Amino acid sequence: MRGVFRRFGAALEFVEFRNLWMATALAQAAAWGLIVTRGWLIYREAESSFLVGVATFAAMGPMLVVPPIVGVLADRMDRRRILQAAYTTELLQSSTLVLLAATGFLHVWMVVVASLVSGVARASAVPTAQATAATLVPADRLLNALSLTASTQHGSRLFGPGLVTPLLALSGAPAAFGVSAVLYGLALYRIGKLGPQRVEQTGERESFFANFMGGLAYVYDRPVLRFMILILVCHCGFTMAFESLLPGFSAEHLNAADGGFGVLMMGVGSGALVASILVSGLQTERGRGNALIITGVLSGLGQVMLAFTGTLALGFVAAAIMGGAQAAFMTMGSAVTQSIAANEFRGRVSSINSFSLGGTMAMMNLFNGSLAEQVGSQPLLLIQGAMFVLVVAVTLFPLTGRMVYGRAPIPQVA
Amino acid sequence: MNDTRHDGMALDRPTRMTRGFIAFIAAMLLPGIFALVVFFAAWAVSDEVYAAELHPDSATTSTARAEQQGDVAGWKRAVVGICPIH
Repeated sequence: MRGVFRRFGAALEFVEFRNLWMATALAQAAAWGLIVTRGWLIYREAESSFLVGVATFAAMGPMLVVPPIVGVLADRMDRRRILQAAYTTELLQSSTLVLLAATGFLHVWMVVVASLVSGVARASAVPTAQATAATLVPADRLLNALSLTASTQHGSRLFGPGLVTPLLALSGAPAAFGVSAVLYGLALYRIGKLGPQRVEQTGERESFFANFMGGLAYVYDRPVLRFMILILVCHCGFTMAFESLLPGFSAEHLNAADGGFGVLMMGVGSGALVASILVSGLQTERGRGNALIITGVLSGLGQVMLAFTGTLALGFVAAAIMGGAQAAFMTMGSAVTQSIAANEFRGRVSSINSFSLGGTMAMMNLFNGSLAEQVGSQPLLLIQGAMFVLVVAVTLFPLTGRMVYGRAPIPQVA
Repeated sequence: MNDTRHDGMALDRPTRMTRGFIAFIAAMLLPGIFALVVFFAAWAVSDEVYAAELHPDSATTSTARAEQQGDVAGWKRAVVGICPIH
């Protein structure tokens, strides 16, 4: 048992990382609890799926806008302060929702505003926490640290809603908002135990824009980093923009218009949770490189398999393979980028990742959603999955690709 | 704790605005910017498009329906059509 913990929870031996990990897990669970509670409340009050969509967009939209700004701040300021500010904001907005809901003064527009505030805070915390994690463990535990963080993100999708759903049924929104507020309070407490996370600057202090462009130039000038990020962009574009395809696919090909999409998403989520835990046990660069190749191929093949399934049960299995491979590939890709980036650039590298990957997924979802109406969802799943398998095959050959996949050593400089 | 493996293939000279660098910036930033533009544009024009879509139900002839749909520019309909939350 101890051996299993040492392998899969190696990074948790470091107290500072343990505090950050617990804070991240608590905050993620709170965030998903809030998403479910807000959706439930808005739909009950306004009976409008559109307004639920607006609130969800208000919460998710900042993930595209905020990271480039926060990335620069995270490389200039004490990262712990940014996390404290983000979790304090979350605690205040969820506590306000508790009060307003309990006193009957809560209106739908207030929930939408709270979603936006929460979205900005969350978009600030996620890249900052990722950049901080990389400094709290030695390089050989980084994959483990990022895998554990990823597993909390996937696990929280089950844990957060699992906590609030019974409360919604039993006592309504105030108690459910209250649970999120308590979780944010605990996350804030955990972050308070973290030491200062100041970043030493080696260059001159530049303007905000120059700092941001400096981050892009930093990535561009490092072939291995640039190569890895471009592969991740291809991965997000070809295999992770499936949300707009699955509802149509489940209705057209699985004869499961009602609930089929939810079952497939559960498959993706459960696969992702299991895979991110398994990946945390990888200990060598060679092992990580092999896993990167295998999960890259499986990520594309899983989507191809899904395209060929004709029943919901098989669709669930294919979605779990696809979700697991995607989560593992993204986690290992983040570990590669964070382990290569110097500490004073990690905030920006993390935010460039968030922005470019999130943007690519959003754009491809738009593209897929509109094209699926013309050609159907099945060909898109099939072609894009096959395209990513091709990307993995092609990127195995150049020297930079071999370095990314652990087939050649990354040259070191003093 | 911070024992970063520096990439020895990194370039020593300052980054210049080469075509490659501009293409890289575009690949990193344009998808997100494009998605944001579509989201916000769809948000701005969705009421108009929904209203135009509701009216044809009340129109009795196909000519009247076509006239009412023609009130909304094609780009507005397209933007709302491709935005997943509108």
